[in-house]
Amino acid sequence: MKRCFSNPQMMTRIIPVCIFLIVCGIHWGAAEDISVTPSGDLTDWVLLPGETNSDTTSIHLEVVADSAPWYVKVKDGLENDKPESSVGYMVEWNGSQYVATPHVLNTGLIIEGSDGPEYSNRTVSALSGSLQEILVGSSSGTFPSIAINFTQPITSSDAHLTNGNVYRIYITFTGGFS
Amino acid sequence: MKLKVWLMVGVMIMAFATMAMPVMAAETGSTVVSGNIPGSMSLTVTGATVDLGDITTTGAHTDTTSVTLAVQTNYATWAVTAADALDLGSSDPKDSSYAGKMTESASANQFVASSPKTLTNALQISSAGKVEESPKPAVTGSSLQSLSGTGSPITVISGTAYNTEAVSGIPLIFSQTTDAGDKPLPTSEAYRITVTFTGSTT
Repeated sequence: MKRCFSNPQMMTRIIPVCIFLIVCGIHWGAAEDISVTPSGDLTDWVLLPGETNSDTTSIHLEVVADSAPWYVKVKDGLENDKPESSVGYMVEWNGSQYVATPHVLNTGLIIEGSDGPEYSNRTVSALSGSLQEILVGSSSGTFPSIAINFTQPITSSDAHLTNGNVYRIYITFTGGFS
Repeated sequence: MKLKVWLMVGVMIMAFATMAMPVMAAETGSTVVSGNIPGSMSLTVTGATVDLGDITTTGAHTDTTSVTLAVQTNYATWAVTAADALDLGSSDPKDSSYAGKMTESASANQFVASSPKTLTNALQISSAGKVEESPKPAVTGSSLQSLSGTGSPITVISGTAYNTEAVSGIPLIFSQTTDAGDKPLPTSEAYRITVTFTGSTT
């Protein structure tokens, strides 16, 4: 062994093999990475009765993907003990928790991404507790401002909330690679 | 040379350690969407005048058809109250001690200023409410109650359902009981009262 290491000829064979293994290791082992960062929250949304309310400007996603194809999926986060029966629907929130017997909007929230040269949108017409695709990207890169569109129809029998309560839903975005 | 070999072995370990890393990463973000529906309530009174006719005979004189209400609201709970406005549209209101009682007036818009006559019993109002097909809300009525001043309004209809489609044609019942002590007025005069209806929400 000692002679092996001190043998220049042997070393000239070992070194290329090692370099090859290292290169392969780095290539195979490099983690594909994606980050999905919403620009903030959509609050104080004025939901007009009898109308299909739409917001296309409040929320943008920054997606940074070092590989492709990539996707962004969404789901109802069901946080703070939001009732599972209300999945996909905005529910009455008193500022710190969902109320015990909440008003729930009659129609679910609709979410869709937007189209760009290197990504395309998918419409999630029924938000659920499972991840659903909202964006699909065809190339890697940084996409700093992808508009997310929200649509919330309000029927004539949806109630106005009092005592400062609001309708609320917590949406989770998840990025990944196809 | 030994050092070189160990260096190389170290680099190889690092390389294979790197291979053990996941090949795909997924990161999440979240956003909150919240808002409210603007509250609205409208109340329409149809039928400006209740004519109880000749009330010189003692007993109850009732009108069930002249006035109806229409309500639209998207509040979860609401009510409509009635109270004596204490005036006939002029700037000379009657004394609050006459609240709820029809009072002597010489014209359609003015009470007799000095010691007007009043009927002994207060005017009473009720409603049968109204039930309509969903999604319009059911309107809960009330039994006959004596009218009073604005400080003590009576609830004539209420609801715990809501809809932005108006419920119209909610009938009101006006009843005036006269007794032997009530005095007749000259033909140029009449007993009159103005009733104000107010919508409230909670």
